[in-house]
Amino acid sequence: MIVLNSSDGATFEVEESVAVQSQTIKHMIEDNCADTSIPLPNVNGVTLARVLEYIKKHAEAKDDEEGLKSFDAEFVKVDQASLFEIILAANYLDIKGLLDLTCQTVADQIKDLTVEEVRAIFNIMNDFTPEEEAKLRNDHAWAFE
Amino acid sequence: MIGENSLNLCFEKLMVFGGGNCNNGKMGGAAGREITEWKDIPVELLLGIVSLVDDDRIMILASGVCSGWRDAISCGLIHLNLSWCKKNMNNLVLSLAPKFTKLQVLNLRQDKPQLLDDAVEMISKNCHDLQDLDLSKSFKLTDYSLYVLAHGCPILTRLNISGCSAFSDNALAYLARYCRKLEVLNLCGCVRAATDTALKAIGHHCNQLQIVNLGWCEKVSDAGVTSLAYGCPNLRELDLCGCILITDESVIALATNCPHLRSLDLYYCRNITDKAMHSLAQSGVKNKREMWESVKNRYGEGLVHLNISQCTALTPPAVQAVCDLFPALHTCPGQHSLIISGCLNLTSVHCACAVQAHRALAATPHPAL
Repeated sequence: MIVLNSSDGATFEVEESVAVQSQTIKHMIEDNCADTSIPLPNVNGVTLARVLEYIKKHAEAKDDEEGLKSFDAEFVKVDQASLFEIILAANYLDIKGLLDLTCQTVADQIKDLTVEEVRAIFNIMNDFTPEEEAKLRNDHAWAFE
Repeated sequence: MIGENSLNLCFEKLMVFGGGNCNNGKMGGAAGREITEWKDIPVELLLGIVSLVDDDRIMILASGVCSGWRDAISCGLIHLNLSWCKKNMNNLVLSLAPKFTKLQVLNLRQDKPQLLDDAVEMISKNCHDLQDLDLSKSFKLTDYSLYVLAHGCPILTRLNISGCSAFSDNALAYLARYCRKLEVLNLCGCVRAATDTALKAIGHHCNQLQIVNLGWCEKVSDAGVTSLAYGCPNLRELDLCGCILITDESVIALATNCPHLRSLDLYYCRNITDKAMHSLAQSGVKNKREMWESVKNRYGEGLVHLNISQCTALTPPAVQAVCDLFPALHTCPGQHSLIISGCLNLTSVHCACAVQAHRALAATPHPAL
């Protein structure tokens, strides 16, 4: 069993065979950095729990393609803030399947949206100057008219 | 396509603040990680996401969301396709080239000609990492574009200017002098640009060329093709469709100097005779011998595609010899790689599998008889 410590002090136990879906963790184990526990300073407890949920499911139901597909579909039904955290975690922990899944989810969300809609969904402020904004509107018009 | 450097940069950015906080039992939220909001998403992640959207307009949309996203995309965007643009390609390139300075692959193929010299100049001033540029059907571009590209984009490896009928051969020769890393060059339909003069310059300077398309460049003659053959030993594919002036001399030069030649199109080259076929056959023999002597597979399979349609001077024995020597040349349906349309006297030429199928059919007893 491997012990993982989240940034906010939560502790998780997971089997090594499951944990190595994360290339980052795999390399830490191989490099013997894992004596007692592995610190993950960039992942908070809530997010780490979700990530572990994903890799546990993908380890145990490895050959059940249909089952995994519906699991994945449900898994990404979270709010934008959580999705963001999971993407960062999947990237940091280098878990390809999870990163691909979450990135595709976001891609599908934004592909038909306007700029304003994207800002609204991701809670992003428009920080352009009026001049920059004007130029960007031109680009947009040329691309989308 | 995401740059390796930006990935490393991002990883460092993520790690910097995380360092020492984890083991001392600190309670509370995410320990000192700088990135907490979508606007701060790391470069390679944002690019990874937008690359999954099939439509490159997303790059323009995402660049307009906030300054962080704009900077991320500018910093990491390597591939851009604007060929979907029907009206405003010139304006877009003028606006985007100064932002997307890391571009390596740029597709500006047009259905309706829109691109002007000023846009190409903007590319040459900003996109020095450009390796692959598609300017096909840019009818409105003049020689000025080639001159600025020569200076601004010297590491070009793939250039497609097919259909650019306004370019002259002097400008193309000039570009060849500076873009010496070219490996793929498409000059299909560039009647004014692709002359023997230009080909001599290209053969002299662009020695890495592997794939060249001279389709319908009817001014090209043996002088130009032989220059290419002598100068470009790595030549693999050459399209001479409609180059009506060339003779056997061109094919002999290619067969002798280009051991990696795998595809040759001689459609409508009416001057081609059996002599050309013999030289190809000889190169096939030579390569087979050398294949066993040196590293196996060094020269590959030899010819895999040969188009001699409308080469009406050819006779069956000469063509059959070529077909026999190169196992990848097929006349059988479905694997059509030896193309002899319009050569009514060559209908007896068959690849090995076509012959076998024929024999198998003949050997089967017919129940009805």
